[in-house]
Amino acid sequence: MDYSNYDYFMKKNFDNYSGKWIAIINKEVVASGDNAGNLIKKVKKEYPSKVPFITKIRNKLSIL
Amino acid sequence: MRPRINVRIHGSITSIDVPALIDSGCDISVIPDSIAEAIGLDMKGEESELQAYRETTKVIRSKVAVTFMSRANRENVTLIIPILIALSSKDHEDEQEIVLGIAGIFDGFDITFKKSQNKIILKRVSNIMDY
Repeated sequence: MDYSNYDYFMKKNFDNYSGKWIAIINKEVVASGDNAGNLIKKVKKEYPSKVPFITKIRNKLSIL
Repeated sequence: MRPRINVRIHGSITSIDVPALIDSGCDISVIPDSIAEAIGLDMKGEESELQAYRETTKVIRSKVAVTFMSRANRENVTLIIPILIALSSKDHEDEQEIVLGIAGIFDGFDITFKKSQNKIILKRVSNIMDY
């Protein structure tokens, strides 16, 4: 476990994925989608030995 | 920018790394049901409700193993924490990010936010409660 994918996420601009969930492996976006669960299942199938970095690209202000 | 840290969430099917939001205003950690189901968390726990700002969300009580990693000395700390799995509905289709709340997290670490340095410091406390 390291910070390489996290740092990549923090430094890059992902506005083109606005509102989507993305999966990053080896500092590369390998998949995106509207549903986090489906995205995780897809990445697990295509990259079974990798641990992806998963996050949502927010497109609006929110409160929890 | 919201206070997030990089953590690894472990399930019975797979693990994922996520930028989790640290929220001292949240009594317990919360994860969307789609993520919980995809990574293989136990979803057979007691059903309950989570009261938010102006709305209530149905949830399932569960537990999850979370690994925290330090940048400074590369020390990994894994805790098993209580968690609420937020159930999606037609009224709440927008999946929220993973939130680390007080239970299990603020018991396990003294947390310092240094906004000017863009840092969050987690200092492990000795009397960690194992949930």
